[in-house]
Amino acid sequence: MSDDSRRTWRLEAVPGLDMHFWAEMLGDPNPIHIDASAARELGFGDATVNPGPTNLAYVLNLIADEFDSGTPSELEARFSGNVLAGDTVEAGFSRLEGREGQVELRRLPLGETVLEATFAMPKTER
Amino acid sequence: MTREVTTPELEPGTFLITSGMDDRARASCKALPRADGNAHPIFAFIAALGGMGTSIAALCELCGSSIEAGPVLASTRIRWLAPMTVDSEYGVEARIVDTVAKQSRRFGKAIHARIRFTVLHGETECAEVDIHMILPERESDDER
Repeated sequence: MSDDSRRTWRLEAVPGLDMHFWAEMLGDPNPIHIDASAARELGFGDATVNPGPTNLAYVLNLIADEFDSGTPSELEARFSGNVLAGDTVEAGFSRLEGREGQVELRRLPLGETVLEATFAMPKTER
Repeated sequence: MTREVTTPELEPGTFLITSGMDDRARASCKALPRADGNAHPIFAFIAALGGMGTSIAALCELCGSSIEAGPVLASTRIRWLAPMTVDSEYGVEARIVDTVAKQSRRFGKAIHARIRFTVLHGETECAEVDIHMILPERESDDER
């Protein structure tokens, strides 16, 4: 059962131009991140596709908000969908038990889950 | 079907996390400002992928695909072992753990590749990153 009082993290209008920056840092020349026509031809939709690690950064932001800017000791993430330029996304805890839990990143307004992650925080603060 | 990869050990490389890079990454993903000299935790992943000594395009070729086919990241596991500060250079070691050819509803015949990265600062292991990538197989690629 969801708990609406739990913290969420939201980004309105995922910026397409920043996808170039992320792809460059990652050394990722995949055209779907920089060329909307390439993304369309490969069946991803009508806009550039956010690099998966950028979506993961959103989830890490939520965890940092909850745990006083902390970094997890471990995280496992499954990428089940794509975020396109212009999308609004929201990360929220689907489970939170002490210093571990599960997070989902959803595309709004439909709420399609695009990333699920389980994480654990360090036993002691770093 | 599991494929043998002839060169599972990828070339080692390095990745420099600059403060400017961290600032821009934080701004673009609406993260909190850096407070203690530590880079955003996503830089464990960025350093791993961006710092490996083999390009992603070459990695796709090694796995029997190509970058133009639109490889996607299926899953990842990250272990943060030590703080990663900005304005520091990190060493990256990587190896292909395995590649498996599977039929995929979305991609047709695709290669599932698992790659392990270790991100080091000097002798200190800062992060261990496992990734699972799905790479659509080249149309002209013969079964190996």
